[in-house]
Amino acid sequence: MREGYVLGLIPETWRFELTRFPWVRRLLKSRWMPLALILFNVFLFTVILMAGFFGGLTSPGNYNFGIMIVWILWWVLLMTVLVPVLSRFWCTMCPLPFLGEWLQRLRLFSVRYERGRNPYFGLNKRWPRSLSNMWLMNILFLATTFASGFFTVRPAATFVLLAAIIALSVVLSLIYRARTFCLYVCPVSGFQGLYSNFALTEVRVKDPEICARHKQKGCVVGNERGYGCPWLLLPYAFRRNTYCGMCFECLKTCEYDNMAVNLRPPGVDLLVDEKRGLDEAYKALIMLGIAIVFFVTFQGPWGTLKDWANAATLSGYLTFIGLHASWNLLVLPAIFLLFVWGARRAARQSVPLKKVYVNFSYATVPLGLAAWIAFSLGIILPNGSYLLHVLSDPFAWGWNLFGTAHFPWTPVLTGLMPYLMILTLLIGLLFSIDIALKIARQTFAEPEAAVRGAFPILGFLGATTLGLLWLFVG
Amino acid sequence: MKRSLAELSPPEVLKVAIWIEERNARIYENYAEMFEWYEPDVARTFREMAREEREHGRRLNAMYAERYGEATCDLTDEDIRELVEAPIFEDGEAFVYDRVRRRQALEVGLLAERRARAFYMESAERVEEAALRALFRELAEIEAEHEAFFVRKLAEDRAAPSAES
Amino acid sequence: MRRQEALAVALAVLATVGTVVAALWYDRHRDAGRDVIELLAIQPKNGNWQPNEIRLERGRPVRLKIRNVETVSHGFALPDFGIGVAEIKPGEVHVVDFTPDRTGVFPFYCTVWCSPEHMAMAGRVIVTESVARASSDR
Repeated sequence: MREGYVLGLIPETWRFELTRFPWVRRLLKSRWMPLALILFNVFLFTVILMAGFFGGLTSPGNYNFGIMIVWILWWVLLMTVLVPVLSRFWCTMCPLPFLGEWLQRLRLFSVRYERGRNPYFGLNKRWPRSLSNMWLMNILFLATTFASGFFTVRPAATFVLLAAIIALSVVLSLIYRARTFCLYVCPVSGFQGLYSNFALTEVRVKDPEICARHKQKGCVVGNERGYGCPWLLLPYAFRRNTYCGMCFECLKTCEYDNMAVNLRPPGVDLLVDEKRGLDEAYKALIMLGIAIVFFVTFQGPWGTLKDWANAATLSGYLTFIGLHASWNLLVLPAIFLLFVWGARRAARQSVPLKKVYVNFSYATVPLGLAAWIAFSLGIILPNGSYLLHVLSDPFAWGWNLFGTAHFPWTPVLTGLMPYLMILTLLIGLLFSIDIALKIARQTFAEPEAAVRGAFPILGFLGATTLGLLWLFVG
Repeated sequence: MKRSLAELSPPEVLKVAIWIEERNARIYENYAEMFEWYEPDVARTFREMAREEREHGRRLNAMYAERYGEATCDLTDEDIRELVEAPIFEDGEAFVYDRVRRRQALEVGLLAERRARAFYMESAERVEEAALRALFRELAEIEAEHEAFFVRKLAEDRAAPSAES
Repeated sequence: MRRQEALAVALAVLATVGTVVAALWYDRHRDAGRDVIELLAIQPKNGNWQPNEIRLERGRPVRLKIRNVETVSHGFALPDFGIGVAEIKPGEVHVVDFTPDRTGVFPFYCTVWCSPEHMAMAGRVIVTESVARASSDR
């Protein structure tokens, strides 16, 4: 494949600046953006929390607003559109840290700014250095999936999860600086960050030279138009989407209008050889592993597994947790290690094994994302019609707001579903192969060694794809 | 319309060089502000660097006064095309990973000075006018002294027991 | 700026407290003028209809909210008043409004084969001239 081209077709450097349109720029520079979106989601999540609270422990999930909106609509939108296309756009409008951030700033709309003074209310402590990475998010996300069998059938479980996240974000906002909760704790932040490296959208500097000459970095320290990057990035210098929460504060604070929102080819950030780490490698593998577990458990033909996950018996549930955790934390990473070891051996280069392991883990991101998209299709196409019901009767109080409370269950395109899933997975594989070949060239200096070293990784990607295809059509 | 540094007269070049030092001092002060809440040691280093840049500017100013008297010149660093000696802290995720040390701040300064020296040397090779060439060489030598300052500071930092803690 | 801040705060309060208050108010408002009885559809081995016996007053409008809290479908029929709900799916709530126009004891049933004990899934409505109601309002 041509060097510097995504899939040999689109130059990696290709960008289309969305903020070149004056109305887009005006919109993103307004302080109502993203506040208006957040306020809408605050309303939506208030309804979700009410539905979870009144839905209790026993009400079946299909007719619960909270469960349907969070686990059917939101999750599917997140995996199919928000992350792959719009990067961390969910973080832009996420209502969960809303209260915490309001307390920190003591303002909702305006900016509390005084040159040289910390604008935030609270203790503003630094998050412990040892936790300044994705490990905690890896563990918390994995732990959250232990209860996935409850979240989709028991409204109260969703209520407890969301309420706990909100409470934790408020507490952490008062103790720690800026978006510490979102950066290091939120269970769904880590994978959004990693997978956003594949996304078609980015916030970046337009002309680095303008920033180099600029004496006052308002994007970092804030000014009267906006806050310094709440995600602790240096907006004038960051090069990958991982930690950019797309809050658009830097578009507001930049005095030279030098920040842009761009469309770009998919996957280019996965090639940025900066700040790669074992925490992110594990995140990539855990996400792939959980997608496989979810397929097997919730969409596979093995009822026993589903009963285990739904905690029909305590011993079954503990078995599920044990298998789930060891598969994701030990077995899959160990299998990947074997292939990586093979890659290093085949390349015959003295590159540290850890570096090879970490580097190639980024090649699994497109495939992992594709597996999640395919899994999401298996959720939304059969179950999407329930959404019409819950919109009309959100609290199961017998309402019929839009006349759709008794809309019959109508699966959509389920005949096409396996083909769509296969297609999605093959596209994911294609991107993964492209990234793997490029990472091989980054990792092993000699071109021939890179080709040799890439083969075992392509083997891993191919075997994983075959396994997933077998799950879809088997 | 921006001009190239090589198209300027010697007094103009010197005036721009003074502005560059002043600009850098302000950039370092801003970096100090960025790091104030984060790592006081790094912030302090950037303040020291800002002071050093001001001192460089003061020395160049004295040189200007000695050679060209009080003749005014409106040019600033923003009027020239080239980006000379612009220090930039490029670790975009530094705060996220919380790993910035005093050494990195000093390296930012060292790199800027090195680039400036290389730029002046290159310009000296390119220009034909003897006076300008001489000035570029002189500026390159001055930048070499500045570079030595950062090299010395980095060595002190490495020798300090808490350098890598 | 100050007005926009106030507007933002007002919208935030509206989105949270306003939503809760509006939902509770709407629910109460739409039930106004009727007695509301929540009827849980539960198969016999798990406890049968709750309440099993509904006491009503003749001529007084009533609203039954029939909620299926199980994972199997149920149905509902109160044949003496010509009322029937073909299927109440798991989690679904059906609202039935009627005004009992005569006194007596009237049986109601599940109409979907929900379990081996399906035939026993029944209760009764007792309509009297005046009533000391035993059934619960929500």
